[in-house]
Amino acid sequence: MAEIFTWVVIPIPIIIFQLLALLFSIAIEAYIFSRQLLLTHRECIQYSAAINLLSAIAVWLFGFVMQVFLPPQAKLQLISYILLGRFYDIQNQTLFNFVIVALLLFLFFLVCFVEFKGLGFLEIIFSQWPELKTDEERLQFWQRLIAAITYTDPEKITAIFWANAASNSVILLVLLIAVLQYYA
Amino acid sequence: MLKFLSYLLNLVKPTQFNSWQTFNGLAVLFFITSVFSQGFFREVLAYAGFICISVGLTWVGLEKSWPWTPWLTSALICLFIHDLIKIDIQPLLLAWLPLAASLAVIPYAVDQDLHWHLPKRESRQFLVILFGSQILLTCWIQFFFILQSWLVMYPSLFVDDFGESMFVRQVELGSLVLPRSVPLLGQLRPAIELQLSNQDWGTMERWLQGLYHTPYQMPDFVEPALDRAEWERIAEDDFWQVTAIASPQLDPPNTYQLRWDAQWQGPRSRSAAENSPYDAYLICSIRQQNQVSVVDCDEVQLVNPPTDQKPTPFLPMSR
Repeated sequence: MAEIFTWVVIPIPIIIFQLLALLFSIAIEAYIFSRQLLLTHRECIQYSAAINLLSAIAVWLFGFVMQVFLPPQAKLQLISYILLGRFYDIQNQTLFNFVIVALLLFLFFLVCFVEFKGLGFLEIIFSQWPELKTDEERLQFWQRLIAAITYTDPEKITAIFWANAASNSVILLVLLIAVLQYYA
Repeated sequence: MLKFLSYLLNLVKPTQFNSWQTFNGLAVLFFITSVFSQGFFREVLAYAGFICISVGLTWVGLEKSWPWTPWLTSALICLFIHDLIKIDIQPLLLAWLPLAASLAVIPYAVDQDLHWHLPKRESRQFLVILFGSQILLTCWIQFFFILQSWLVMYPSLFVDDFGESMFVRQVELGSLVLPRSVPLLGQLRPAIELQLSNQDWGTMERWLQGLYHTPYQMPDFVEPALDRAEWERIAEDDFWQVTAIASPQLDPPNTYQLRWDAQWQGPRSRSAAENSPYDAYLICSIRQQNQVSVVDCDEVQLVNPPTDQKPTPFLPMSR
């Protein structure tokens, strides 16, 4: 353990980037929720902040789990990209591009899914809870929980899909401007 | 001085029995007695003091309503567990923030008579965001640990420049880090000197002449030598390529120079592709003495020693 701390690599850039991305996406998604869902402004900000935090955690957890199960060759690419900013000796460029695009798409839909289910649960958490004294009330509560897991509200899922698409586009645009500035 | 002492006394002196000053005073008392006692009793007293100081500090925080009381208490609990059962620091650092968030819930969920109830609707929204932010912070801490574990697998990457990375920056604490090529060739050096010495000069010359023009890889020489030197194998070893090339020397005549190179074949940044901070070399001169060969090796050197940083004590700059 002492050996590890003689050299330190700190993830400051990704932390700053994530904070900025969270700010952007919370603001944009709150705006879109306020237009598409019947919520007050304050509620919109709170829901948006909570589900964006939730999806950020989900993406991190996915990364942590994935890096354990990756084959060694792919893990090396990941390490190389994260530490050095470039991939290492790619043999099959087409396959590689395909995998990267598939991964990004998967992450996008993972985020949408987590935010959608998170919104369902948050609505239950934030609502007035019944006393849970009688069996009937308990049954009702369980039914609501199960409904949150299984039921898909088309209006909500479109709102979340468009909100995510918009916020991710804006973040990509900002990144693009930053990269262009870097090369200019 | 006197004023300071009386301030300290006021900090410790209990105004009433049922207060945080009692606990802090008890803690000081326990610590003082533990210094003067021995063995098992000393540890018990130290732990008792630690518990008292934890309770005391939490009490201060609650009484003066410091906003960071849960984080303080959680850190003290983690420290206590660390001391008590010698657990690794990583799980405790990961547990620290979620534990603090859980402690922060208590004032919202427990009323005056210590009855559990659900937090109110408004505070629930705040608590969800509090928990989310703490777990996100924990994710960053875990990412830090994963980065460290990768660098344990590939320690030589640390000599590279991480400036192009979107994720991380490197911080140097203390001494300069050497790529693993230096200890690798350092381990090979005694094996080279042992195996190439006292050989028949004719065979030796023919073998050296066979190594003239291109660098040769010698796995059947390198691998057993590393095994014998009990070289600790890690993941990055696959990327080290050790080659040797020989050249005849004119002065003094009838000597040969054998240059061993350890080259990094793994991932590297754009700047490292130009100045190769990874690679190192070892130069041995082989001469004849009484019809047998004699080998002298220099110290291992980096191909491009870092210039702007202070020279390392490991590498005497002989040339």
